[in-house]
Amino acid sequence: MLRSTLSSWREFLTPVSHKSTFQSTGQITPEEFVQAGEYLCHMFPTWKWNEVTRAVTYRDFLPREHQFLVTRKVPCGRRAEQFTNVRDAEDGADEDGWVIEKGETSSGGFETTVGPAGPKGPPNGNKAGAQDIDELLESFEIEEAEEDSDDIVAAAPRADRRYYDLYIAYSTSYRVPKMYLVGFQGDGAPLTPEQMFEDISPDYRTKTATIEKLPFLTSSVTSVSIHPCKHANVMRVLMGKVLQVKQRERAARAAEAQGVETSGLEKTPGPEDDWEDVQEDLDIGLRVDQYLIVFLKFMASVTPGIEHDYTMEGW
Amino acid sequence: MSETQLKFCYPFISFIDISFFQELARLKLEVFKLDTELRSLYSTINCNHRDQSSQSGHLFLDSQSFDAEGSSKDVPLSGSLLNFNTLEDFRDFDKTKFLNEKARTLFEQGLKDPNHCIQFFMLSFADLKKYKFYHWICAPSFQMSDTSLLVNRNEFIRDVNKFDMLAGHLQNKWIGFLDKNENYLGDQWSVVNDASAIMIRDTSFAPQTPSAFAKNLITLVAHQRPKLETIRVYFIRNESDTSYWLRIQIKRHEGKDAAYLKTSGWERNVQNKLIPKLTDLNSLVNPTKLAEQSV
Repeated sequence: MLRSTLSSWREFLTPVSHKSTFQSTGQITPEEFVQAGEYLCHMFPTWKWNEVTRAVTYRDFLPREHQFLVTRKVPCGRRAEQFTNVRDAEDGADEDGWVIEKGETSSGGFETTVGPAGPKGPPNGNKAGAQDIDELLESFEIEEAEEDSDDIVAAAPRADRRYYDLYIAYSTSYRVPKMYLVGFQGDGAPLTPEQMFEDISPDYRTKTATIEKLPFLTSSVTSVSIHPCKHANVMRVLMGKVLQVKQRERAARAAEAQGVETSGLEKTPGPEDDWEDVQEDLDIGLRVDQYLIVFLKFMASVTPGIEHDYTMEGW
Repeated sequence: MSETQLKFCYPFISFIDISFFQELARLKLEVFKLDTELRSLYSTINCNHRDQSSQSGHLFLDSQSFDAEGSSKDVPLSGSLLNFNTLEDFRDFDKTKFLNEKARTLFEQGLKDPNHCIQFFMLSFADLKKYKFYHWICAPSFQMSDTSLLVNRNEFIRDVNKFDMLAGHLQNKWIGFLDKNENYLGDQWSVVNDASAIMIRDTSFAPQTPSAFAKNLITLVAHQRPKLETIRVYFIRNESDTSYWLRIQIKRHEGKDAAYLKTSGWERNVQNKLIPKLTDLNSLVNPTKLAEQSV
């Protein structure tokens, strides 16, 4: 809590810079954030800018209609452990090294069980309590006349499926975008922070994931944010790689001078393909537009289970 | 194609934001107090996502849902909240009767304006001491008990221009009437006798399976046109490639008792049971718990 509070002060106090330095530092200005956000919304229409309502806490260095980006209910089919640490997840060894190391397991710690995240009791509640509640809820059940809903195709949501509202705001202290996650169960109930941590890859979970309230909304919504202290550096490296790939491709293209149009489509999809077409007419390579797309690739590695790219099915 | 019974999907999956519960808790303490009247809710169904795992659009409730000032471009849907003072009141409340009454009300509202036959209702109990919220949402759908709906032809809407034309008229509406040349006539009952096809906004994602809201609209049309036997219905979704039309046969069973409304609509949980949902907000809003977790 102390760190979150300090960082929100810092966020408030750090002066805003408007000088573009993204190629050398990996940082962006608020203007570039807006520009990159516009590009993101254009390329991935599931991303939207905030609506201008009373629910938003406005910051005056950004236009009111460009305070933060949001995409709602991005599906998340598997927990992060299932990508990295299948064995431990399966045998249910609750205390992996990295969990204990955190030293904040006082309230039962992070649950590393990957089983169905159905409507179970609170993670730190005792078993009996949870059972009581299940029984209590059962007593509410409606006896349904068969014929009343025989024409409804019943498909209950999958119990292990979760959904995330993802928010990207601009961090003034680090001059980079900052990602906030707000998770939901398959049945629509909010996830607890412990449950949300299950979807952050273990490498990042103990280091850069922070529980905090969404700072840009007036109502208090608990989220897990990815702390942006290393973002600029990672982004600089990633953008550099994109630039290299671009230059290599341009060289290859100059050599071939033909078949340009098909090459981009038929290659095995790599992270560098998505912005290929807009890139062609540029000599210096990178435009700040693509910053957030690269940023999302980076975030996808932090939250491997969240299907950031599910929109691509529609393309 | 042979005739089969028309099947429907539940019209939405509801998602409750923490801020909704917090606003409810505030209103309970400061405004509702012990009062248990129906309160208005304003929400939208988001049908924009292409998540293959969901069968229908997402209804999203947050702190803004208590406020009429919605500015969203999604499908607007209004609702009502009935908040109880005790868990016992919630449990003992006759939910089947409530659903039937609300379906009847919607039916009657629909006879005035067909777009008004669609709403959702939420029952809730906020245990403010334990940070627990119980809630249950229903979307009443109804059908005359002496009527069956059969499908005898289905096709996708191939013509994109036509789709655009149809979808354009459905902004903020649930239904529209078309003449035999498929010109748009309007969305009110005054044109129903000239209509030879209707179009309905569809919040379902299942292939060629409409949301249960369509049942209300078709039932009303069948009621307004007692002689009608078959009707072509365009189901308009967000994308042209998943929109479709069905030829629906309205089969009235002679000799059945006076028509009453067959209703359904309580949301099911992940085990497919008809029971309410419980949300434990301890670790999300309880200040002492938050302090423990915080980094």
